[in-house]
Amino acid sequence: MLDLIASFISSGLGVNLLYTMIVIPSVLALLVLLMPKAKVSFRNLLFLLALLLNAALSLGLLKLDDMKLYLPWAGGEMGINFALRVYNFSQQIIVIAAFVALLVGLFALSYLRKKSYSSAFLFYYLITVALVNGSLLANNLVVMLFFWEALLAVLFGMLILENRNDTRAAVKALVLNGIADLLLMLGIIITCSLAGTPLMSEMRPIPLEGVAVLGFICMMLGALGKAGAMPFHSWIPDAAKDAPLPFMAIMPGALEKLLGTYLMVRTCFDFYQLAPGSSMSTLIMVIGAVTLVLGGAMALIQKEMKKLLSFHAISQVGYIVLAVGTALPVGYVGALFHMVNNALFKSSLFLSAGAIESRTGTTDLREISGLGRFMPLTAISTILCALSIAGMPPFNGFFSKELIFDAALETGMVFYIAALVGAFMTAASFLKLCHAAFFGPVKLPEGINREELKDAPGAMLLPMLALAGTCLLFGVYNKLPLSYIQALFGSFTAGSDFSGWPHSMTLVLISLAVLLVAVLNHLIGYHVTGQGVKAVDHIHYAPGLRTLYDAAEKHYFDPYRIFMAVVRLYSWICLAIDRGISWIYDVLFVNIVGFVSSVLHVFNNGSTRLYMAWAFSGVIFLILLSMLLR
Amino acid sequence: MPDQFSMLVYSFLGLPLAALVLFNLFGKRVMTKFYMPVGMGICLVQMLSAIVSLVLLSQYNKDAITFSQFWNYQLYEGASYFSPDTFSFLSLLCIGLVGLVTFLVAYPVLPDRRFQFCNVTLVLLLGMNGIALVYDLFSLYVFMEVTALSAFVLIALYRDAKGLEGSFKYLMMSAIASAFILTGLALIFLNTGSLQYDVVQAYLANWQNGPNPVLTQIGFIMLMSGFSIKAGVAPFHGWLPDAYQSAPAPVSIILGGIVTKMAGVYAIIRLVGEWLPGSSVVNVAFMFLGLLSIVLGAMSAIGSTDFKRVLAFSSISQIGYIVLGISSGSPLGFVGAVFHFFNHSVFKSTLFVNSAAVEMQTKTTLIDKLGGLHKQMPVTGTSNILAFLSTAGIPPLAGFWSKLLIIIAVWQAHGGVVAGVALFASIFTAVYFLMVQRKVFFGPCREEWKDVQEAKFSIRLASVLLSCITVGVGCVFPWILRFLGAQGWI
Amino acid sequence: MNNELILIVCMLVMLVCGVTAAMSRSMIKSAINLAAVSVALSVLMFVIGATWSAVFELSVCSGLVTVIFISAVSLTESKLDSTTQRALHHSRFAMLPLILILAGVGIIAAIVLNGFDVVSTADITQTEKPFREVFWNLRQADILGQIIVILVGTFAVVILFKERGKKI
Repeated sequence: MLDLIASFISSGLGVNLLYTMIVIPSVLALLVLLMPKAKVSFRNLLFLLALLLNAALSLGLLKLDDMKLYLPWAGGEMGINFALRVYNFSQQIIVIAAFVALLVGLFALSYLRKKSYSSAFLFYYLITVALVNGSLLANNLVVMLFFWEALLAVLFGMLILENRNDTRAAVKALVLNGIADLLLMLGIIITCSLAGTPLMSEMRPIPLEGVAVLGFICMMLGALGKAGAMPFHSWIPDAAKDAPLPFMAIMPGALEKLLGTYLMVRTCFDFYQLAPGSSMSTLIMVIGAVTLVLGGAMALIQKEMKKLLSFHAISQVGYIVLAVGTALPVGYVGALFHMVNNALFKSSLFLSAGAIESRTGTTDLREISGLGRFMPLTAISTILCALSIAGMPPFNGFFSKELIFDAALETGMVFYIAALVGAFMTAASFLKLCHAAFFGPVKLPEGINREELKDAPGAMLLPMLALAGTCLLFGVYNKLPLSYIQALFGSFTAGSDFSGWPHSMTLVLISLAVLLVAVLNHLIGYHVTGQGVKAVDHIHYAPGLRTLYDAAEKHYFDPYRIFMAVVRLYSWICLAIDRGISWIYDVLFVNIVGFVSSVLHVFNNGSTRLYMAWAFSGVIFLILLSMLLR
Repeated sequence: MPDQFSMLVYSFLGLPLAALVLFNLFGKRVMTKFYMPVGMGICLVQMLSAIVSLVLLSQYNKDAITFSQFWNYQLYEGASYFSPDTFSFLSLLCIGLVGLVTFLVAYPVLPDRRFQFCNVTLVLLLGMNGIALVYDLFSLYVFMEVTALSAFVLIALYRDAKGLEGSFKYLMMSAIASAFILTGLALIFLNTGSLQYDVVQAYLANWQNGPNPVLTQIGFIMLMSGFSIKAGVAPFHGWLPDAYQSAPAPVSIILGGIVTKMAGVYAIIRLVGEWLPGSSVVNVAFMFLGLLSIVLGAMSAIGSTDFKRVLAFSSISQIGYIVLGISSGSPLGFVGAVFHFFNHSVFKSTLFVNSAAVEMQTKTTLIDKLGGLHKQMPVTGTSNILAFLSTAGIPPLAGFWSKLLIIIAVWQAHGGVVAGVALFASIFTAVYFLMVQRKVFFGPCREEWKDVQEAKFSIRLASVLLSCITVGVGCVFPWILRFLGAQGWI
Repeated sequence: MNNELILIVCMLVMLVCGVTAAMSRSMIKSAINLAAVSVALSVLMFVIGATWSAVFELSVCSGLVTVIFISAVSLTESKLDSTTQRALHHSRFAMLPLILILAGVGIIAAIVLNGFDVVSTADITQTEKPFREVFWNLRQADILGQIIVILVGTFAVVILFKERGKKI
């Protein structure tokens, strides 16, 4: 089958495939949007067809070697030419993206059945797919930036779908991502001028010195912003409250992480020479570690499933950033592997939340309990993914985390400890989540009848289980993804094999010990409070931490909030200056003119005597002046 | 130049004189009907003669056309005679134009005093023509007195208290000016023995090495102060707003449009611009006077509540620009001043014509009482905007170009600060004019002015004619500049 | 020497009358003082040899104009009262002209002390031509002007006095 598609592609139509990846989802998106309301099933079919085609074409791409498309557009060598390129790096990410998009899309159809905005959502969804394909395929940094920025618009559109009256979360996302994109634009300008070409395939890694550092930081910040690492993370938990869950699953859960990681790795590896142990490397690792620990810490105390998951979406990026920052072969491989794994289990977890929400109407863990007996398959899928994300062997998360631990340890003990703390928090919070949601005494929100509560429909379960199954597959048979990933780096990773069981048994044991601590912690917490949902309350309300957590819950540490406060201060200052200038013009100036005018009118009162005095004084002035000047 | 063409210049003095004699010989009852049209005809002929003479001058490359009224001036050495040059003819053109407009407006506005008005206005024209034509400083003074005297009579035409008061103030200040001018002339005459232009010019070129330099200097300053009083340059301007405001509407037009300029600015341009271009003392003195006039005029205009008073203060401000242009001492500044002289005649006449239209239709010129007249008086309102914009120096109207030349010249001569102040003050010009325009013409129409009619045809004709000149000259100005450049004048 | 004395006296008269004109609260008194200035000026002209100027100044300024207008103003003074009253209130400026004019006197005194050399220059400009010839042959333009001034004086009298009693 694949061979068939590949031969079909390479026989003349091949070059066109590159932009077919962008055009087909876009065109079908328009069709989906324009489909009349009565033809819902046909619309859904069209939507699925688009995703299937996308997935099939992406598989077809996998068979291609390095292939480029070059359409001259504006300007010459440094200009904005529409350049696409497919090669092994983009191939793999596109395949993962298409696969996740297909499954989440299937779920979305079922989830959105009763929502009024379904057509718009599906339209945005397909456009997102097209833009993600475009970003990954673009061979010109400027063209990539175009797709990248367009994603921001779609993101905003999707965020305001559910709650059009309160756009604060959407605006927050727009501002944070906008800043990141602005930095990216700056970075792209610097990078292009340093490299002498906007074409990525033509670039050679630039040593990190002088302006290049600035360019590198800007590029990385742009990528971090897309991936949702600190300090660009804070919109995700806000968005989780209102945004449709398929959106959470596909955008912050999967696609944005893919894009962000893609650009991060390319920046560090292809555009610039990030040396292990350099200050830049340390900086990125610090960002990663902070994201990882703080995201995990915030996730730990959440009692609302969607928020908990979204903090984990932040925390897992921390792992990836940490790994990329090491600039070691094992780091890069671990980062990419974790990126793939994260896309799988995080989207699946969000889908589980969606399934629970569509059945019970809530995802607040304080209101639901013991769902396992009603929704067994959802429970199984969730637990599988939770095990993955917690890093339990033999799931994929275990293997990618082991690689990252390895890289972190090689760079510095601090980072390794940070990673372990993150792992502990992840495990603890998911123990809490699974325990609270699926076990224990049955507790349902009001209005939900026990008898009528069923497991999620097949269209929801299928994607969830498929993703969970893939998690297990990539864990057990991790050679499959790792061999592909390792191939990306060519000679850089030659000589070492990262697949199979981790090499260092010590590290494995330590990881397992951390997991054990998490379990013990959970048991203690459960024993103390008697409720799964309160299993980590002893950490939450520990002396000192409690204050910090309260402050964090009130968004005191939100970079957006701080940024906005600065912006408000700035705008207040600007306003004050503006008012001052206006005052000078409107009040001071007018008053001075009015005063002078009235004084002049006093001196022009109709008295001839006074006029004569004016005239005589004028003559005297002139005579004195001329005497002085002589 | 053919002799028959040089006869043209006689028309400037001959025609008004002939009309005066003719109309006063016959009975008043018969001639009243024809007097105004004849006056308009005389003005038209004067404009045509001036234009033809200007063309002739440039055709034959002559500096001036020299002639004498009654006798052959060449028989006697040092005799006074007439010798108009290019600037004179330009002034004569302005006089004809403003005279024409004045007659056009006076026709409907002054139905009861046409005869007296025409008599005195013709004398006024004669006086101004004489100022432009003469070649002797004392003759200049004599015609200045003629002009001033007829202006007094015109202001007091209705013998009302207001007019008499304005007229009397003008008279008092004129008396002082006469004293200044005569003292100055006497002190110069003391050293030269003659007051003919070429003699005085030759003397002034080297006055510091002549006898009695201190006295000459004081005499010159007295002379200039006298002219400044006549021109209404600050701080000698006191009489001007009162006189303008209290004069009957058509008289304000001719006063604001041309009289003060001919009586004062003309002489200043001649003496300072033409004869003393390099004198730093005089230039700095006039720079101060010009700046003071600009700022004081604009500031006072902002606080004024009467349409005509605003225009009067604006005249002070604009004359300040002319004086400032002259004070630069460069050919560019001279050309700018001369063109501002012309432009100011045109747009200030337009504004006074419009104020006359408003006054005739509403019987008031108080800004606060007026409002929303644009709907009822669209022609007047539109020409008013054009004149305002030209005064404020908005391109491409004529006022922009002359102000530009002046400011460039001032920048070169006195530096950026002075030019900046001048430029800044032109913002004030825009401010007070927009204020007036908004209060008088724009905005909602007041209840009491709902039935106001558009001005009479001849008034509208006058303002349309002047507006066309403002726009037209503005549009062809680049070519005028090119011509001037080709002539080597700038 | 004699000339110089006359000159200085004339100038002093001019100054004093100027001061009085500027200080006087009545317009008519101001006007009369200004006429006196004109007369002094005419004398000054005679002394320095500009006879025709003197004649003109005397006839036009101090004579015709002032007389006509003082008459006109005095005839209508009752009407002017209301408007001139306004000016009278501003007595706080009363000292301003005095100070200015004193300053002027100081300046002129300084100049006179520094270099007032009339005698030598007056000799140079002493005209030998008879007055008649000067007046009729050399000053034709001025004669024309004089004629017109008389004309306008007539008009002024006609306009300002003739219709008195009819209207207004």
